[in-house]
Order: sequence, then structure tokens, then C-alpha cells
Amino acid sequence: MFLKKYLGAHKLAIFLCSVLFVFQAVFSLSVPYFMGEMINIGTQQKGIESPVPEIMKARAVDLFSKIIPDEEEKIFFSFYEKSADGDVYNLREDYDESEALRIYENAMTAGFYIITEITQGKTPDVEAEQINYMVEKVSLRTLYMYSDELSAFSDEEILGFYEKAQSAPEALKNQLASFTVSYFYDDAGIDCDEIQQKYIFKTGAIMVICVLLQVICIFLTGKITAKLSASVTGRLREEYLLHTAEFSSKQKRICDNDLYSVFSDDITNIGTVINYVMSAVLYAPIVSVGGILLSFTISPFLSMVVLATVVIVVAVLFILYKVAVPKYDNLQENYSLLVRFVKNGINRIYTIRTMRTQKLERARFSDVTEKVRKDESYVLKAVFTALSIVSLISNLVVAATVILSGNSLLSSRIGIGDIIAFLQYSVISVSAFTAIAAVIMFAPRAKVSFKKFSEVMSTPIPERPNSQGLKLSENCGHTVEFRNVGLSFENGGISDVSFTAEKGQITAIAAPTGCGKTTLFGLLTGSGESFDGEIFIDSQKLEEISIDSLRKRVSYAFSEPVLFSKSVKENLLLYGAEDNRNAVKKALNAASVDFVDNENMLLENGGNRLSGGQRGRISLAGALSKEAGIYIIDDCMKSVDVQTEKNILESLRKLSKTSAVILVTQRINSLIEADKVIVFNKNGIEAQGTHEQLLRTSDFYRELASLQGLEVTARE
Amino acid sequence: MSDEKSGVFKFRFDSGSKTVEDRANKKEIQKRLLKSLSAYKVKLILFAVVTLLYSVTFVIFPQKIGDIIDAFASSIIQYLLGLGDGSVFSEIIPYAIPAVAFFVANAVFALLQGYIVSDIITSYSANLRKAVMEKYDTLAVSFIDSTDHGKIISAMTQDVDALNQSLNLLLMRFVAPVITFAVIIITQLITNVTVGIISIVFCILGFSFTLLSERREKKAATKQQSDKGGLYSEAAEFYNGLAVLQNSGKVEERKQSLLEKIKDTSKASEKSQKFSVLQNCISELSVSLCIVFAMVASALMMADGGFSVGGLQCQFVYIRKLFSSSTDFSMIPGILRTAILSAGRIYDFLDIDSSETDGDLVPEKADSPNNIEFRDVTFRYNKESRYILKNVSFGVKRKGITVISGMTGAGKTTIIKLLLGFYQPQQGKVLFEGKDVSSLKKDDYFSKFNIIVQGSTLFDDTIENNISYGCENVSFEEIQRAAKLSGADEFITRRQDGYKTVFNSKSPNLSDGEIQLVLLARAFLRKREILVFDEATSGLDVIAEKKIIEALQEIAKESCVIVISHRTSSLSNSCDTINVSDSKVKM
Repeated sequence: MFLKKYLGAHKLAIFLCSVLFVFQAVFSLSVPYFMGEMINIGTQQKGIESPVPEIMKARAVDLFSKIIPDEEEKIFFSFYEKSADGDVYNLREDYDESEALRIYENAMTAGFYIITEITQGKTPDVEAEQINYMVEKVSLRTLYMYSDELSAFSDEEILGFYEKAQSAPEALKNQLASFTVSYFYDDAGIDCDEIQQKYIFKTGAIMVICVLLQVICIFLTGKITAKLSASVTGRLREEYLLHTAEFSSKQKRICDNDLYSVFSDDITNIGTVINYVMSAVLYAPIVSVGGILLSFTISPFLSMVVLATVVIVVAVLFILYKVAVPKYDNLQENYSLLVRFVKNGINRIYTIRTMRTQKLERARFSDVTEKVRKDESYVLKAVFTALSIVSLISNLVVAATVILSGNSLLSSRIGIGDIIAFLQYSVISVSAFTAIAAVIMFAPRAKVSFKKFSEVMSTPIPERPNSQGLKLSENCGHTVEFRNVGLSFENGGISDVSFTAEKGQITAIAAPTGCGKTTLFGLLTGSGESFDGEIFIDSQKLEEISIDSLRKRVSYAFSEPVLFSKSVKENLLLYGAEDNRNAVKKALNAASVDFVDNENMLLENGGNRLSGGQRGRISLAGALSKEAGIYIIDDCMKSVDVQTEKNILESLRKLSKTSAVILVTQRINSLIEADKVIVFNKNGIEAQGTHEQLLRTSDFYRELASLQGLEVTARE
Repeated sequence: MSDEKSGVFKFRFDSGSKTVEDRANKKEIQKRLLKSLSAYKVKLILFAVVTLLYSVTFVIFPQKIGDIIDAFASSIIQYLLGLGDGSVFSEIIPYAIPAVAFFVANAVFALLQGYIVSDIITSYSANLRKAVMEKYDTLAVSFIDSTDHGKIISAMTQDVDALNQSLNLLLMRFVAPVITFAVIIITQLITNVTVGIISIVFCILGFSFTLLSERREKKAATKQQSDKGGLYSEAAEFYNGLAVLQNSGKVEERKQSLLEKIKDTSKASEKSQKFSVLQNCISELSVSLCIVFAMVASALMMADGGFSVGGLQCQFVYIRKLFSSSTDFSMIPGILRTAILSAGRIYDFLDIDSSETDGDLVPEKADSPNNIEFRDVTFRYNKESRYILKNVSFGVKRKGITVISGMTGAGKTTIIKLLLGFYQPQQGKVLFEGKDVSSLKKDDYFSKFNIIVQGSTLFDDTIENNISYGCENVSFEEIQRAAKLSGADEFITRRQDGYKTVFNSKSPNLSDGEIQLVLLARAFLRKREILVFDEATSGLDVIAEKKIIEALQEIAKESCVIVISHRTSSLSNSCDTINVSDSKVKM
């Protein structure tokens, strides 16, 4: 896997990102945690954090000691110290919290039972004011009010109430403790509303800090992810460029991908995937594990509900992946079928128009369109269905949590605030996974991109001798010799090609299209295609010559002109011209480029405003501008007029004095001008010789000539 | 998937930029777009209704959950007071059933919403494609020849696709969220004014910050786009001209410059992503702070006994949904841009003013021995190009083979294009039965022809259907007889699937010669006065060529056969030859 290698270099960044994700999860989950606290303490305990009162009036202590057994009383009041004036008792710093809470809760519950006993029959309208009624019932005020009745109970009876309180439901004790604590403060003349507001604002501030910290984490992880994906994309492009820069036609054929589109689109897709994976796929499990752990502290049973939900959501997404992705592939296929259909339709327009089959074609087009429509709608519907199911499930978990928590509320110490917190945890845990849905829909494209990228990268770079290869000496004969060369293609090939092209001569190659001449002469540029027989340059075997040396020696004018969106001069420089004015001018003249006034003229969009012939001439100028010993001019003149052809031939004639010129052409004027004509048929060389010789000896050549209006006398 | 927005669509039918006109044009396009959508009025209304129902059920569900939570509070107290029996279930069932009903309904509406949208957009795009295809069928061949095929293909495929996706996004990310947004805000204001106002304030804050950062991002994004554009165009040139650069030894130099550009682009893309990170932060910040503020406000209210815990939970759900729908709004301008751009290109295509002319029926056979005549024809494709034909005159006999020969590019195919009336000569006339071909009714005129043109290939269909292409109600026997006459039967029956062999244009499973034989079989099946046969490439072996010549000679016994050949094959000995060279013809 290529990606591993590239991501490996960023281990630290990924690690850092994961750590930050943990923090991000902690902060984002702490908001609901404090929310729960705010409801439990802020509203129910009136902002008093410990359910054990920190301050008690002396008369409250008296009352208190009446309803708890002596030994408990001893323990409880050992946590308090009397103030100087003896009017109030203050909670000591070092009190045992759990003991104090236990006794306090029991006392409040016992008080509740006692008052219930006393007020039996005197119950006011319970339905109307339940909460207030209950709170009133155990409030100090009520206890003060009934202090006479309280004294009427015997010690045994009081102990009975206390024992009953000890075995009372946890929830009841918990609630009673929370509800009553504020009365001790009221009693001591402390403003509870102020404490409450303070608590609410304090917790609110903590929550704001958590939010800010969470956002900082988001910012940092986002930045790291952006940097990572940008740098990995950059690295991929670099390596890709280094790998493909020496691709010849052979490698291009083997990997069978458009090198540019992989460079641009597919690598971008890979970058996008990295981004998605880092931001959604990595974070989701972290935050949902956090959410489940936190909900576990509230209720182990309910946390299992969340866990189950997460599992179900993952399963739904997996099913979506299994169902929608193949269909998505299908859609892509049908879509390319549609594109192909349109393309073919344009290519066959003459057939279709003359056979008047437009209607039939339209029907076929609708068929293909219908297929695309069906797939499109299937994929869309699958996604919508999955999203609805996910939302259904998350709603289900909310409902289930609330309903199931009812029982837990009674049997454990869960406060109503905990339920709120819990709901938020489950929402956060589940929604993190829904973000992955987007990644899933991107997966098929990414898969294709990965495939293409690795196809190109696993295509071996051509092995050609360079540093250890032979160097051609500078001033040699510039001779190219083909000896029994053969090429094989899928449907046919050429064999037994033997001829020599040398300095001082223009060698014309008259070959039908598609016989493989471009591949044949491409060998001289070091294309690395395999061939039979032997090729020699200055008596050196082609395979042994270093690639740099070969390229210095050979200049090749391609039959399909390629121009760069730069000035004419810069184009020539890229074709290998010496950087001086003379060389550029000379080459432009040689190729008869008479339509360019200024060599700095910009060729916009690769010169697409020029005609084919004009572009061909600039590209020819490029090839001629390079100082080389062997020039191969591949069919550059197919669309120039007769006069231009003559001019160019003249320059080639001059050029041939110092170099070997191979001119691939079928035009009769070029053939007449050439010193030697090699006539190819589909299988190899048909005949060779001068124009006059060939007219006499070759029927094939005569036909070629006569087609171009040359008066050819029949064979003698 | 922001990469979709860029890069793919580069075409415009009328070149040249025009900003002032563009704006008017944009309005025009919007109008047409809306008009085209009005055909889906019923479905769109249905969509709005379902979305409304979705929003309403969405809003009610958390209220029901809130009721349950509040019911707990009271049921617990009842239980503690010894009034209830401790069974919370019995207490909440009356609340739970509607809650479940509402969220199931909510999910159903969500699903329905999605289905309606996918129905609207898929049928919209299918219809649009059909309209484009119909337009394409009326376009003059000369126009199609001279227009970049990429533009046409793109109008028929990519642009429709892009418009399609934008519509999907507009409905799902704009129309639906706006409705949901409104319903939630209204509900919030009704149930709890304070929290409602808090969420409105935070929504506005979040949205304006998003807009602010987006404005900055746009700058960065355009820079990144241009950096990327620079990298991409340079890379495109690099790979396009790789062979040239390798030959000139300039690969290294270009490679270095590209590597430099890659680094720049990486930096730029990192920077532009930073802004989207910032946006993420803003949206998270506003939703979380909104929740915190709502919490604090509610806690203070609860202290005064004015608010229940269940109601609070309900508000949290609203706030989350509110923000998740409002962040989507920032994508709208981009989506609209894409929609208008691609719609504009499609409308440009639909508005092309170039259609085939039609005329009279072909007259009765004239007295002349020739049915086709070129009279002093001069032709070039456009003012810039050279003359292909200059004062060319010739006739073609009613029966027998006429060979048109000449070098590649000499103008042989042009003669056929003129003969078929797809192009008109600048001078002179092309006559059929004494009438100018451009004045003939195409259906009638073309019914005289069988044409196998250069580059003809088969359709991706069975061989059988390829032979019977364009003919209705032909029996298999007739097809087979035609194939036998053309000599195609032999290789067809050798294939495993015989006549049911499916041709694959992507990786051709028939050789060029075999394709031509099948095409000839088509000509045998449809008997016509004239057969035009463009020999296309020289990709035929000697045996195949001989077979085809025999087949042509067979057809020529009954009708006129025009063969285009770029070399004088053995045919030329026995028939009329028209040699095209240097804009002249020689008989």
C-alpha cells in the first residue's frame, strides 16, 4: 500500500492529532457533564455543592440531634465546630464526606417519615403542589413547627424512624438531601439565591472555557490535518513526477492511464480521502468511546444502550457501503457508457443522419439515460434511507434512554440532570459516526484513484543505459543503420527493415498510415520499445548508447505538433534550441514560419488559435533549432501548401550537408527532392531507391505517384 | 467534495468574456431554470409539504421526550410520597406512545423527502438530456463538424450532471433547511422566548462570522485555484509534451519548475484549508456557546420555577438542529453558481441557431446517364482554410462502380459531404437528378443512399442488429442472406455466439476488415440506388480486400456504387476513376 509509506513520515503529526482529538473529545463531552451538574446542583440544590450543610444554627442542631441516634449524633457533630458565640456550628475542613452524607441523608429521611406520621390526615392538596409540598414537609420550618409533636415521640419510636430511613430507597434519600440542604442556609440567614446564581454563573463560565478549549482543539487538529493532507498530496505529486518523467511511449502503453489526469484529479482525490479519514474516521471512535465511558459512570446499563446504538449505526453504514457502492460503481459505468454513446453518436453522425435513424438513436439514448437515472435514483435513495435509519436509531436511543432510565432513577442515585447529560453523550457518540457517511460515498472514487495511482507507480521505469552507456563521439558520420529490424503489434507488424540513412542525404520514408513508422523511428529517441534485429548509430549498437548521448544526437519532429503555452522563442528553447537570437531566427526561417512577426509572440492554450499547418511548422522549427546530427521529420508537412513545402525542403537540403535527415512523408515533391526513398508497405519495406529508380521498378510507388497527379508512363 | 466545483467545466459556446451582459444573461438563465422547474410544480409542492411535516414532527418529538422527563419527575415524587405504585412505566406510557409515533413519523417523512427529491432531480435530468438530444438531432452536420465535440458531449453529459447535483443540493441543503429552520425558530419563540432569542442571536453571530471568514476564504481559495490552475496547466503541458521534452533534454528543467509549483500549491492549499478549519471552529463555537447560554438562562429560570428540565432538553435538540441546518447555507452561493453556469451552457446549446434545411421531394429520374453531377464546384471549409476543390465538374453513372481516389486530405471525403448536402459549395452546384441537393427533402433524398463512411464503426450491439440497423421487421433469414452476399457470414458463423456476438467499441472484437464486411451486409439488406463506400484506412489484408471488391461488384450490377479509395486498387482498372489532387479532379 503506497499510502502507508507516505503517511509513515507523518507519524508524529498523526499521533499529535490523535492526542488532540482525545482532548477535543474530553472538552466536548465535558459540556454536557457540567450541564448535568448545573441541573442537579444549580437548580435542585440551589447551587449548594455539598448536600451536607456547611452551617447549622444551634437550634437546628438541637432539632437534628433529636431525630438521630446518639452514636450517629456523636459522629456527625464531630465534623462540626461551634463558633465563638455558640450560635452556629460550622462544618470542619477535614470532615468525612461519605459518613456525613450518610448520616445527613438518613436524618432527613427520618424527619420526612416523622412529619408524614405527624401530619397524617392533614395532607393538603397533594396533586397541586407536589414538589413544594414535599420540600415543605421536611423543611426545618416544618420541623420547628412540629417540635412539640416531635418531643412526644419516644426514643424507641425515633430510632424506628431512623432505621426505616436507613433502608429507604437511595433515590429518595438522595432527593431529600438535595432538596433540604438549602433550608439550613436560609435558617442561618444566608442568601441562597445569591449562592445559586453564583454557582450557575461559575459553572456557565467553566462550560464556556470547555467550549473554547474544544474549539482550540478543533482548530489545531484542523490545521494539522490540512498540513498533513497538503504535504502528503505534495509528496505524492513529487514522487509521481519523478517516477513518470522518463516514461516513454512504452510505459504509457503499459500503465494505460492518462498520466496527467492521475497527476491532477486522482492525487487530489487521495488528498481528500486523507482529509476525511483524519477528520471523521479517526475522531468518531475516540469521541464515542469517551461518550460511552462517561455514560457508564451514570448507568452501566444505559451505556450499553449507547454502545448498541453505535454498533447498529456502524452496521447501517456498512450495509450502505455494501449496497450503495457497487451501485455507485455501476452508475459510473453507465455514465461512461452514456458519454461513450454520445461520443460515438457524433462520430457516426453521417451514418445516422443519412440512414435517418435519429429516432432509433434517441430511443437508445433514452435507454442509456434511463439506466443512469435508475442508478442515480437508487444511490440517492440508498443514502437517504441510510440517513433516515440513522436518525430513527438516534431518536430511538433518546426515547429508550428516557424510558429505561425511569427505573434506574428509582433504584440508584441518578439525578434528572444526569439524564440530560446522558442524552447529550449519546447524541455526540452517535452523530460522530454519521459524519462517516460522507466518506463512504467518496470511497468508490477514492478506490479508483488509488488503483490508477498505484498502476502508474508500479509501472517500472525504463531501464536504459545512461552513465555507464556509450557516449557517441561528437564529430562522427551521423549514420543510422537499420538491420533486419522488426516490430510486432497486436494486429500485424513489420519485419526485415534494413536501410541506412547518412550525413549528406535526405532519406525519405514513404509509408502508409498505421504501418508503425512512428514506433519505428521512436526507437531512435530511446522509447525502449522492444524490436527484432539491430539498429546502429555511427556503428554503435542502439541499446548500448547512453540515453543522454542519444538524445543529444537525435532531433525528432513529431507528426502531431505539441506546443507549449509560452512564447514562440520559449517554445523553441524547450525543443532544445540554443538560447540566442540567431539560432531561433534561423530555425523559424528554416521551417518557413512566416506568420510570426515577433518571436516573443505568446502561443495561447498551446497555440490552438493557429491552424494545424502553422502549429506543425512551429514544432518543426523547434526540432530544427536543436543542434543534432540526425533529424527525423515525421510527416510534418501533410498540411502545408506546395510553396512552403519547397522552402522547407530547401532548408532540409542545407541541413543535410552536416547531418542525416530522415523525412517521413508521402508528398510527391518531397519524394522527388529526397536522395533516397524507402517505400514501406504494411509489412515492411516494399522498395528503396531514388525517385527515378522507383518509378521504374515499383508498381506500388508508381501508383503512389500517379495518385498525386504525376504523369506516370506505364512500365516499359 | 469541493473538487467537483472546479476545473471540470471550461466550455462556453460563444467565446469572449462579457461581464455586463453576463449579469442580464444570468437573470435570463435563472428565469428559464425556474420555468423549467415549474413542470415539477406538484412534486415540488409535495416536497415542501413533506418537509414541513418533517420539521413539525421533528419539533414535536423532543417535546414529547421532555414530557416524559417531566412525567418522571412527578412520578418519582408521587412514588416517594407513597401515592404512586412505583411503576414508572404506567406513568409514561401515555407520553411514550406519541413520542415513538412522532419519531417514526419523522423518519418516514425524512425518507419521503429524500425520495421525492431523488425522483424530481433524476427525472429532471433525464428530460433535460432528452431535450438536448433532440436539439442535437436538428443541428446541421456542418455545425457539429466545426464545433469542438467536447463542448457538445459536455452539454449532453457533464453539464446536465452538474445541474442535477446542484438542484439536489439546493433542495436538500437550502429549501429543506430553511423550512426546518423557520419551524424551529417559531417553536422556540412560542415555547421559550428567552432561549429563542438566544438562539436567534447566536445564529446571526455565527452566520455573519461565517460570511466574514468566507469572504476571506474566497480570496485564499481563488489564489489556491490559480496556483492549482498554474500547476495543473503546467503539468498538463508537461505530460502532453513529455516526448518533446525528453528529446530536447529539458525534462529536468521542467521537472524542477513543476516541483517548485507543487510546493507552492501545497502551501496554498494548506492556507485555504485553514480558512475552512476556521469556519468549522466558528460553527462549533456558536452552537456550543448557544447551548451554554441557553443552559445558564434556563437554570436561572428554573431557579424561579419557571421552566422544566424536559423543556430544557427539548431546547438543546432544537439548537443543535438549528445550527446544523444554518451552516449549510454558506454553501449556497457556490451551488447556485455551478447551477447557473451549467444551465447556461445547456441553454446555449439549446439555443444554437443552426439546423438542417429541408426541401422538396426528389424528382423523377432524369434523362441524363448520370444521376449525380458536380458542376463547377469550388469549396473550402471556411475563409481561413485553403480551397479543397476548385472548379470541379464530374458526373457519376447510374450503374456500376465509380472510384474517387486521391491522397489523404485531398478532398475525397469532402466530395461526399457535398454530395449529401451537409455542406454547400461556395461556387457551382451539386445536382441529383438535375436538382440542387440542398433543396431536396432529406428523408426522401437519403432514402436513395446506403453510406459507409470513413471511420464508420459498428454499434455496441449484436452483429445481427448491426446488420439490420435502420430496417424494421427483417427476418433472420434476410439478415443471413445479406451477410452471405457481403461475405461476412463466414467469419460470423465461426464466432462462438454467431450473429449474437456483441460488438464492443471500447476494445473492438472485430477486425477492421470484418467491420467493413458487416457494414456491407447492411447495404445488401437495404437495397438503395446508390452505395457510397469509403474504404477508410488501408487496414485490410489482401484477402479481405478481394472479398469486399467482389461484394461491391455484385451490388454494382443493380445500382450505383461510389468507392472512395486513397490508392488505385485493382478496382480502378475496370471502372470510372475520379482522381482528386491539388483541388482538381481528373477523370
